[in-house]
Amino acid sequence: MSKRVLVVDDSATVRQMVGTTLGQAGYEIVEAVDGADGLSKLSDDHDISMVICDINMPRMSGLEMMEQIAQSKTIRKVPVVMLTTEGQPALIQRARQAGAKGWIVKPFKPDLLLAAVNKLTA
Amino acid sequence: MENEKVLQDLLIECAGALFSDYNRPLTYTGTRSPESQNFVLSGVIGFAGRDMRGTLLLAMTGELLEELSPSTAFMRDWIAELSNQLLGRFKNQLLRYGTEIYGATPSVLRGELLTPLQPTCALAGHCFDSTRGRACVWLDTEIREGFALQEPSAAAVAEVEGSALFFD
Repeated sequence: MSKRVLVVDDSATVRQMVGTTLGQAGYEIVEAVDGADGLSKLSDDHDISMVICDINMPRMSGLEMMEQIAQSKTIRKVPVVMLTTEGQPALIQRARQAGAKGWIVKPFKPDLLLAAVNKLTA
Repeated sequence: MENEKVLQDLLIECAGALFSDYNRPLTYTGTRSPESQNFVLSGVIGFAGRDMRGTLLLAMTGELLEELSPSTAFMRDWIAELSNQLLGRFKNQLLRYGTEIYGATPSVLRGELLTPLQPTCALAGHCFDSTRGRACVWLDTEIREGFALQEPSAAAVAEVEGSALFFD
């Protein structure tokens, strides 16, 4: 059974690009359009192995989502990697303190993203 | 250091790097008269910070946008995402100059002839060309009175585009 990866980004194009990269490697993709949608899908779908999450999104940002995941007893162990245009150390530190496992600055390199997913879902 | 020139030069540098990262190096051709530009979509994104606020706009002609896009299904979304990534680079570079800005969610404008201001003005658009078309970027900023950009730090302050960090 293929592993499921939740991709949270308000850009349909980015979701598609990530989906293509991971889909070719055998992963199944679940999409969410913002942090609130992502949190809802992660809470409902217990087969999700990992989350890839943008930062700047409407309704709920990726950092807010990350911090809510960290507070949840049921989903806090699901690894999260941030995929964003942001590169400020303060934001990276905030995500790390909330439990994020990685930070990738867009545009992503497919091999790096895939390596991260392979490692974190192993 | 002239704030406006630094910002415009940074924008040109960031736009060129963005296009290169998508394997579509475009030649910077300076400013052009808007009458000759048939843009189909533009991504617009506002930003604000303690020292400055403004708007960044990225416009592209149709064929070039299609060539750059991973899918023709999401052209509006793609120009918005490209403008978002361009602002991301710009803000990451600005950290080296001692100031921080925060971006809004990008929006999209449709249109063929876009005329923010004439090329004789400092707000003129910067054009990048290939045989497949043209991309143009504008930066319209209001800078806090008395503010001056610092000399840039030699080292990058932010993580660079395409990089990945993994935590224990």
